[in-house]
Amino acid sequence: MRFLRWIVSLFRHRRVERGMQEEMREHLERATERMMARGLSPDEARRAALREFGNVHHVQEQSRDVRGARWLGTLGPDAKLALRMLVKNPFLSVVGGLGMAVAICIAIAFFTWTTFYYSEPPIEEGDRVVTVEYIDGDVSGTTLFDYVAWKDEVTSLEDLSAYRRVRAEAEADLGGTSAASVIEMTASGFRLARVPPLLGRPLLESDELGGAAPVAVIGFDEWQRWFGGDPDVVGAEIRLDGRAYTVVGVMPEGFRFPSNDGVWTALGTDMTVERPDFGEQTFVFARLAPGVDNEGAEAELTALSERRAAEDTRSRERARLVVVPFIRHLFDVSQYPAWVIWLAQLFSALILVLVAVNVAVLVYARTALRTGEIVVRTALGASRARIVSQLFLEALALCLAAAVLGLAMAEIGFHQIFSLPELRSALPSWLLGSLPPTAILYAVGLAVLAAFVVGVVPGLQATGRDLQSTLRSLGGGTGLRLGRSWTLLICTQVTVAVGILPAVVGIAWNSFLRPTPNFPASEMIWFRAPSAPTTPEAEADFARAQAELMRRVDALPEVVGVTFSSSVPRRVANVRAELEVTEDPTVTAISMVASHDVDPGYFDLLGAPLLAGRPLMASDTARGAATVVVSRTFVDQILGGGNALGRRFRESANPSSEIAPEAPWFEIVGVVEDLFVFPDGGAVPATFHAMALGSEPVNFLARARSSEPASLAVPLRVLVDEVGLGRGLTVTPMGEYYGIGGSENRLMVVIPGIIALSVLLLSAAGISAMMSFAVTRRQREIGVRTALGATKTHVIASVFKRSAVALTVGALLGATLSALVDRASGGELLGGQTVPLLALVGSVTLVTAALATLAPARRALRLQAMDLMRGE
Amino acid sequence: MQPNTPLLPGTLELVVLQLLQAEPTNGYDLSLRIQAITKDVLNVNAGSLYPALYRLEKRGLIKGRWEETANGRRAKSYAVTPAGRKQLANERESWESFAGALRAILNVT
Repeated sequence: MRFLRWIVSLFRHRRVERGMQEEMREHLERATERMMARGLSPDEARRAALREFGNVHHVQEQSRDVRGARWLGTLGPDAKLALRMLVKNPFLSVVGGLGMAVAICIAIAFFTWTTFYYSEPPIEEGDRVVTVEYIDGDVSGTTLFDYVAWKDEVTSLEDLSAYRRVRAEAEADLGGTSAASVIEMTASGFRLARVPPLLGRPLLESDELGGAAPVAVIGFDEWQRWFGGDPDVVGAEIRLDGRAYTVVGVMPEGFRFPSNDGVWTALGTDMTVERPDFGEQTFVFARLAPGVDNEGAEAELTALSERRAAEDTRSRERARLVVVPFIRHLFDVSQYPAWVIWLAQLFSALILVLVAVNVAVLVYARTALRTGEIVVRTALGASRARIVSQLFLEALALCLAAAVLGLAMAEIGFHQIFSLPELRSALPSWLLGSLPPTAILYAVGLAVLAAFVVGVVPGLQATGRDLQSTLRSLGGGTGLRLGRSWTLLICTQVTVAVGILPAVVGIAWNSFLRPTPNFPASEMIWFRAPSAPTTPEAEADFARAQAELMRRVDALPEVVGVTFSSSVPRRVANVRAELEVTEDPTVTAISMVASHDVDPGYFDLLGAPLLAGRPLMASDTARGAATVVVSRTFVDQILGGGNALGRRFRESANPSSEIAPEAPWFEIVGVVEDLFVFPDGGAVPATFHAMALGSEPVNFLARARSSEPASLAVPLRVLVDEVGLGRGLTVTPMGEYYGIGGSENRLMVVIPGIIALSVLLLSAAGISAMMSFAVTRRQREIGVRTALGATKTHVIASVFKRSAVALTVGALLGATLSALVDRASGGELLGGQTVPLLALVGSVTLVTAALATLAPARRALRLQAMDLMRGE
Repeated sequence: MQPNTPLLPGTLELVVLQLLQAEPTNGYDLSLRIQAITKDVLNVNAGSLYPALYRLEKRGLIKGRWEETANGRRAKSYAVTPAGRKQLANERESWESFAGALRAILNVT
């Protein structure tokens, strides 16, 4: 209530102020008339009335004090002055404002992420909707197998549901062909949402059965787009990847659940081919039963899983099952406790405080130049609080401008990120759109916090000394001193700058310098069967189906050819290789290599030329064959060039494990060109073992005749369905997979670039401020020393010695910090470029520091003793 | 008592409330009435009177209203609110009790 009255008083202030002035004017006029009636002249009467009344201005101030509105009266002029100071100090405004804007943008990004992390689906009892997931195990995530195993037994969860996302080409009766994101969901998903369809019916359990007619429920937007909002749409037909589906229902406007997809088809749950360790990832979600919490559901499901593991030897090794709020399955961080999230949040806010401290140094330096103004105002009766509040308001103007800029940057950044097609359809609809409104409040809060650091702290320091000593020191330039704490701050700031910059530059550099395919990736796509066999009989069928699929894909007119491998072509090393040194068999050399199992026709399709020896052949796929083809870089880097044919090596199972003593030796029979190259021409050494098509699911790679391989998606999905390898095939264009020309790459360069630039700018500004300070404080001494014949070098050295020590110590500490963090990350942080990056950042920081000292140094050298004397 | 004697601390609000209860009026006339009633012994200057009026108004003990005066000018007239009347009764009681006690002491010979 009191707050409400305060708000109302803000708006009534102007009227009340006018009323008070009118009331006192009326008082004076009547008093003047009374005096005139006593025979005084108008002038004398006015003077007498004023005498009787007292100091009008003072009475008004007292009256404002009573109302608590005094600060309101000064708010307007103070705000105007604050804005004027912003314009008057463009360097401080631009550098400080930009630095804080970037920091606020980072803090908002963290805040928004946290908001998403704690968001709930906008449905009835959305806070009780949970997701069930396996974490920490060899293979995390859930499959349809898990859903089927749990759905009839679990009692702690209601409406247990499952979904998978599919990208499909949709063709409606009237709407033509367009890409649609389709969600395959169990009928229980609609029951859980508790939102009835606008038209028709939702999916039913009977739709999930194998022989059921294919049906679809469509979203409001799709209904409008494809059928022009036709009320008789129920019963119409749409085609998804060439397969006909009958529309049975339309969902109301705005309904998008559980993801942002607009077509719902039934997820077949009577499949028997699923096995726990393979299959498309299927998300399992449900609503907690009344009176049950996450832990209760977790305990029941864990018990069910353990019982199943005891009965079924094919159950995979899984460490832990969790039941977490629904949104968490998208973040992959369900294993982190809440304090980690809040610590990250706090850390992001601390970045702003660090930046604000930098700006505070700048402001302090500027405040030093305003000592005269502060002293005069103090002498005229302004209280310390009044001056500090004026400085706070000036800082607040700067920080609010930075907050607006930071919000705009965050909004643009989110728009860019959310317009990535994969994210747009994968994220729930309630996360998309603009920043949450709370982010604006958060930004304003951060601006006030920053304004406190930027304005109040230097303000208190500047007004803390007693007036007399400040007055005495006025003639000497500034009465303020650059104390140890500020020197320490500069030192810390340089430490942080040199500590952070290598990692930031490293991230941008590594994104920029990612190896690019040395084969026509933009003409190729990759895909793998959506299901896998579980029984020996099914394995034979599966092998036949894979072979049949390869034959049919090869026969497609739009396809140049098709091949397969155990994985998509690798850009990074995945195993250790131990080389036999032929001169001395007891000595071995171990290196990291990218190992592939490939179809013998692999190099032909990728167009990788053979440089020596022979290609892989069908005979190399025989069990026990110990032949291998290696890449050019393998020969150059690991063998040191020369003839590689006939030399031998063996490999580990994964990058972290040692090479087993019983691991077989492979003999090199051929050398091919590198599949990926870095911009500098380097590459990761690679090895290629022959494999035959069998019952193991493989990655198929098809090369299209056109440069639009995505157009193969529809015919491929039809073929996969026809040969019996399952529905819901995911087809990925390889150009997209490797991020060729992708906006993610640009973002990964632009974002760290902006951060690096603002860190550098702020460091430069901080150093420049400190140097200016040193010159201003000692200008009399400099003038006298110059007059006495001191050389320029001596003058500069004496003034900047302390600052130079702070800078050097800061830079060394920062470099050490960066190197230590890099070592702790196993060299991943700086991408193995520790020395060049530290050298680069070190020299850039030094050059920046040198440039920042240039202006103060020139000012110091221009100081003349006579001018200073005259000034006094 | 000498002319222009200062008020005892805390009594100005009692004076204002009492006079306004007797007759609602504006700040200027109120200051003249204080002078007239006390025969110039108490002289409350504007620097004390207006802050006191605003303080009482803020506390809801009096309420100001803009009115046209007899000679056609606008003036803000103050009147005591029910809360002000209650407050006045309380303050009068404690003042009379204090004055009685003080008189008793001064009558001691």
